[in-house]
Amino acid sequence: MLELWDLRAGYGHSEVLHGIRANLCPGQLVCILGPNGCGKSTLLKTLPGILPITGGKILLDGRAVTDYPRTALAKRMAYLSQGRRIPAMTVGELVLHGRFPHLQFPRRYSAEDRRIAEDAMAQMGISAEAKRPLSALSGGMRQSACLAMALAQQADYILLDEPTTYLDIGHQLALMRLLRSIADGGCAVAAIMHDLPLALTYADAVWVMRNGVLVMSGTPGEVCTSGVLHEVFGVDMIADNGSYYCRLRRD
Amino acid sequence: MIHKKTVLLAVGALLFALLSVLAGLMSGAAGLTLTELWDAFADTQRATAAGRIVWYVRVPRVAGAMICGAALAVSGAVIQGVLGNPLASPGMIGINAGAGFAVVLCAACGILGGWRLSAAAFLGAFLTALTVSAAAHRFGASDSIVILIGAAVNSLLGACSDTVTTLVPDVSIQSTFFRAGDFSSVTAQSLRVPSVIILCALGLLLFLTNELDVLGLGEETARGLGMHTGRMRVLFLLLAALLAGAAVSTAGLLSFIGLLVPHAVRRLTGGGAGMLLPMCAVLGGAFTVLCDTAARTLFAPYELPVGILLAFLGAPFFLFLLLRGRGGQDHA
Repeated sequence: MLELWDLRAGYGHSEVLHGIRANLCPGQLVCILGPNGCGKSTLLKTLPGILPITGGKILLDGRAVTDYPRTALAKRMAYLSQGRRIPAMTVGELVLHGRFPHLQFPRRYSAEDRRIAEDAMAQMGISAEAKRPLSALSGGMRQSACLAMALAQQADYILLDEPTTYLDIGHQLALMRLLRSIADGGCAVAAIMHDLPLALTYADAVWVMRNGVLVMSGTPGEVCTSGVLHEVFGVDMIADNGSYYCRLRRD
Repeated sequence: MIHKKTVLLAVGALLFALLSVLAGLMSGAAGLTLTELWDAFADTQRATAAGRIVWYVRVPRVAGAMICGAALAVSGAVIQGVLGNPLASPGMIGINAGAGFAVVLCAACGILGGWRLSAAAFLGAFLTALTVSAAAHRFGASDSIVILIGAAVNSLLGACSDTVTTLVPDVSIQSTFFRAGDFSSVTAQSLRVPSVIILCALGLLLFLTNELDVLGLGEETARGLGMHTGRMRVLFLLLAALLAGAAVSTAGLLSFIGLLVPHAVRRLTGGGAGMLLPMCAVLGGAFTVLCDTAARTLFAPYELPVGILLAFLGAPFFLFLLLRGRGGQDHA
């Protein structure tokens, strides 16, 4: 289990996260919601140690993440950032680099690594694109390649910063179903989302943030009926037998 | 599994390198046929004129061009990967100028060759690389800003070199040679130390191609994959500086090889560093040998320093990259 105890973090002298308390359990799909600039990405970056914390602690199975060697942590947690360079390499090569934390001397990928990368590409439905350069792909296809790289990492905790960006609605639904099945398989998945109905429909738990503070953590039903989403986003959500709708008003 | 395309590219590159070496050995003020070249190689006693020309002049010159071209091309590919900037190269961001300044300083102190010259060139190159990298990292500098920082560093180090040559006039002949970039004074003796440094650095880099690719994915992604990005960046800059420093201490300020060759190779391979670096080494060396051969034969009986020819080729290419706004790498 990943435990966040009064987590504080930020950039330089500016604190962005002000005492976050939450848990992420294996088998759970957590969607993190909040307006732009509220600290969602900062929170996600602190979990695998990409951004240092300034206070509190993060425990992975009872041990502080700062005590883990970096590669050991990368074997447990896969992190997909929001903005990514488009490197000069093929899809297959990018996905294979998901196996980087598992590399041993002489620093070459094994046949097993290649098989795992191929499985990850098949899972994301991009096997046919393996030999194409990333620069020749659409934004959605590139996003799928990056997700396949995260899957190839075979980590217990998968942290995704806006994974549905660049994807059309069909691919967004396919991705959420995939994340659901990964969580059902025993992994913990945390994803930053902007599509409220999509997040509420597929998540086990929802974390709602505002101004660097976790204002609510609960099941989609609890979050939907609490009114917190109206407070944070100014929209009304309607729950209907496991489905969620966003009611918009034109002023 | 090795793909057919990889094999074809590797064979093609090696064939191109072989042909460029043959052209380099056969062309010059005294042109040689293949038979004469064969006989000259067989003349181990250096008894004939052809034997002396080949063994004392052409072989060191072609070997120097091959080794320095390989070093500068690979150094450019590494720097572009580390800075995530397709416009970066040892010449553009001042690394060559740093090595050149160190070499001019050495010349002023009477050090004209050997390991001390190579060490000083490396130190000059490495300190410059670290400075530019730190500035790019700290200010999150865009592609064009890094190039402007490089231009400023180039100017500053050029001014420093000029100051030394003004104060120590004996250095000016050395300085002219270094400014232009030339292989005419390369000897087997002067190649020993730089070639060992270059071969060691190239060998080590071939083990680190996956690391270079992962670093090229960006700071956050690389750290998420378990990489110590700070350490790795310094290691790559160190190796790139070793390559550039050794090349500059041998042949002077050869610009644009580190820019032209990696871009051309990326277009051929389209892939990661595993293919990019060895291909840059082979094709960078071959390209430099060809340019040097052209520079010393096109205007015979005059010899043009190869650095001038490279500038004629490289400057328009750089403008093309600048106007196109991207070069194989981009940001989402």
